[in-house]
Amino acid sequence: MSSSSATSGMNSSTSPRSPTRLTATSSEHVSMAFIKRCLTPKATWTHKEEFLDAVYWLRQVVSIIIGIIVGILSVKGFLGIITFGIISSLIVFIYATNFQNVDPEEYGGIVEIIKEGFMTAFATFLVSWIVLYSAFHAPESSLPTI
Amino acid sequence: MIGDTILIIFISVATALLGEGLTWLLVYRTEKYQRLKGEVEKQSKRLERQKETVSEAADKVQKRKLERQEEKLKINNRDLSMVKMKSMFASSFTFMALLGMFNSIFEGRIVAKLPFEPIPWIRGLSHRNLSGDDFTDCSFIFLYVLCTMSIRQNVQKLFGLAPSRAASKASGGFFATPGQLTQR
Repeated sequence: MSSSSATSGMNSSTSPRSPTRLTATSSEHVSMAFIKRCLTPKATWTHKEEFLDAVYWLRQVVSIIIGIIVGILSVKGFLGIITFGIISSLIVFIYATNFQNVDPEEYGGIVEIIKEGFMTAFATFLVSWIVLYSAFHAPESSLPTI
Repeated sequence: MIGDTILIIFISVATALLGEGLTWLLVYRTEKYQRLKGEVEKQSKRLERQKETVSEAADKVQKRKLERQEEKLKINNRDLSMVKMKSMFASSFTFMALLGMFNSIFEGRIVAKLPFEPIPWIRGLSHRNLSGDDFTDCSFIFLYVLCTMSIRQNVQKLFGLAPSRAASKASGGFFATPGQLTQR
């Protein structure tokens, strides 16, 4: 394998996508074309990474939204975490099987798709939940006295 | 309190950007890294595809070929982590110092109110340096860690700096121990 072919593979994420499956791209850069494709029903994905990236970003957006809603509604305790787990997984499941209609087996089963970016999304959810909850519902008495 | 919370989010965004910028400067833009990364990704994708096509009943020659490729990939992966290691050390020292500084600034301050009571083994982190036993009080370090977990990964993804899934899968995590090689 020559180094020139490797570097041309690296740059292929910016060039127009060829239909070949074997392109050594790194993770998809977030571009308008990528966002457009994510929102197109039954879009064609040239390779696995692209679809998984779409799932990853969808999950991030969903977790921020759930975090904001749950924070404003002042949901407390385990219920919030369960709500996040169920709703985000369900949305990803529906997105993959109905909206994009992909074959889960190609990605190593539906569980692999649902697991995609879970921990990062969970952290994102926790941050937005905590921030909104602190902003709206924290008792004033707990303000530090410095 | 909310001011502190927002400030911490800003701090972690800034440190994530700084960290990635530093790594880009020291590692990502170097020719050696780019070449290795391209090779690793190409190899791991090819390996994955070959694994799909080669059935279980494949003959020995094919299997051996596959094993050889795996070994090559592991060597490349190890080289890649070595290249990264250098800047990892540099940036981790910087961030340790920064963390220490922020830690002393926010010492004893409740920066947020948790909407849940953390499980006992997280309390050491979420209630660090705080007085009182209201475990829904959140310390600086806990919020900072959470923010970093989410923001850093997203920054990496956004700029396309995260390793591809095929590569991380093949190496069993990006920092696979070189010991794996000798076990074979």
